[in-house]
Parts: sequence; C-alpha cells; structure tokens
Amino acid sequence: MNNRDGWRRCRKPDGMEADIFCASDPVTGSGCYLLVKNGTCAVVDAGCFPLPAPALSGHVPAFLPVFLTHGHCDHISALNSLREHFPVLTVCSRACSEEIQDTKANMSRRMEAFLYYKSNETKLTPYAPFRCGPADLCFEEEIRFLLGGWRLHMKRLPGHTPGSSVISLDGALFSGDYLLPGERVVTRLPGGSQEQYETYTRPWLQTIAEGTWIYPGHGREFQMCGEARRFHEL
Amino acid sequence: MTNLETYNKIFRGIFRKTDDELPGLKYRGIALWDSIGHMDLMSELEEAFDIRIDTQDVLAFTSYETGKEVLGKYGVAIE
Repeated sequence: MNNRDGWRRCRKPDGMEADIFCASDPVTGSGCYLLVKNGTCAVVDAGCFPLPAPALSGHVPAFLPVFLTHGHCDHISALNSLREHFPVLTVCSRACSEEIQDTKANMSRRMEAFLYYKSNETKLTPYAPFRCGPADLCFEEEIRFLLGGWRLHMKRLPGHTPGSSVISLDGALFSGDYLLPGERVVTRLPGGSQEQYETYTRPWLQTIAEGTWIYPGHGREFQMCGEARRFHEL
Repeated sequence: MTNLETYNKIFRGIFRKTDDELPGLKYRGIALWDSIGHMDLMSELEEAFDIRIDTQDVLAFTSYETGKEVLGKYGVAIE
C-alpha cells in the first residue's frame, strides 16, 4: 500500500517483521507512524490519524499501544480522537504525560500564531487549544518492554521538550523532533533546554549506529550516515 | 521588582541584550527574535504577569515598544 487513504508505506530495516506506514498532517507536516505486524498494530505519535488505517479497518484490536516521542500538539492532536475509536494504551515519559495535559506545554495555545509565522505571515489557520488526558503507562528515564508483541526501548532525551524521548524497535529509531531532515534541533521553545540537549541528548544521538533507520517526526525516513551526522553536528 | 524591570529582564534573558539595547528592538530585527524566540517571549511574559495573550495580540507584539502597549490591554502597565 503506497499513499493510500493518506498512509504511505515506509522503507524499513532488512529483516524487520513489522511494516511501517506514515501519515503526515497537512497543516503541521508532523508524521504519525503506524506499525503493523501479524495483524497487531502500534502507533508512534498521533499528530494525525487518517481512517481507515492499514490493518485497523473493520476491527477493533484488544488494545492499541500509542507511543509518544513528546507532547507538542502537532504530535498528539489525534490522540483524543484515537482514544474515542480504539482501546488506546498511551506510553510516554512522565514529563511527556504532563506536557500533553497542558495547553501551554503542548503548545496548542500558541499553534495558531506559530503556524502563521511558519506561513511567512501569509495565512492564519484556526487552531483550537486542546489538552489530552494523562498517559496510561509512564517511565522516568527509560523503559524496555514487550507489549502486545512489540519489543521496544524508550529513552527520555530532554532538550526539545523536557519529556522528549526516542523509541527503538528492531533496528528502527523513532526520533520525534530530533534528527529532522534539513532542520536543526529546536531547543528554544517553552520548556526546551539547550543545556539539557548538550548534556544528555547530543551524546546519546552520537552513539546511533551507521545505517540505523531513522523515522523523524517531520519528513521522510532515512539511514544514519556521515552527512546526517555533519548536519546535526553529531 | 517593577513591571518595567520584569519586562526588561525577560527581554534580556531571551534575546541576550543589555537594557540600553532594548529600545527599538523589533521582531525579526535580530536572529534570536524569530518566530521561536517570539513563542518563548510570549510564554515568559504570560507567566511573569499572570495573563493570557490572545493570538491577535501575539501577532501585534512586533517590537519592544509595541509590546508595552499590548500588555497594557491586559492591565499590565510597563512604565
């Protein structure tokens, strides 16, 4: 399935069992990843979620894990709707769980102005502030677990937001708003910290193995390489 | 601390300027006062003065001087 119903099939690591699909929000460009393996599904970020979705049409799973990389509104704007449609189990860092519950921390209060600036001050797009309920499963710094057939490692890497995390799965790394193609990391938004990025996050990102598939929060997947390291100063 | 002192402190902290350099400072007049810096500025001002700035006023806040007028609408006198 390629570009069907708003979902694009992503490239993936050799031997990876799961299929990875991506949908991009037309307003913010934020990606939502849907992982499908043997009929089970999991979601990474929920900035949008076009229905019908691969493997979810016509049946409701026992539960749907939703892993969040951070709490900014453009990565969670479909979470409330997903919770209405599916038995969602939201997993993220405790700091991220706090972010999603607050219109200031999740930036939804500022998104209207932010999008206006991003449009080079040409278009005012209505964007209603919203908050989400807390996550169902939280971790402080990192967690490794097997959940519904999904073996994951989530690690909090502050800097972009206090609750920012990366998610590793079978040689794939979902990096949230780190390692965006063509965009350097932003640590100046409310809650961001360049100091924390330098102390905790940059050193961790430097350890990513060459060839690792990166699934960023905006833009297309790519493999870690020298060019990406140079661009992101890793 | 007076409202003006608080206002200036926030500007100095975000844009790394001295008090003398604040008059005349404009949105996009320096690298740090871009859209991201502006979001940070609005957030800090809201927290410091316990107000909520509407989108239209966020957009109208285009300089150090006009910012004082915007805050005046919310009952915060910067004098």
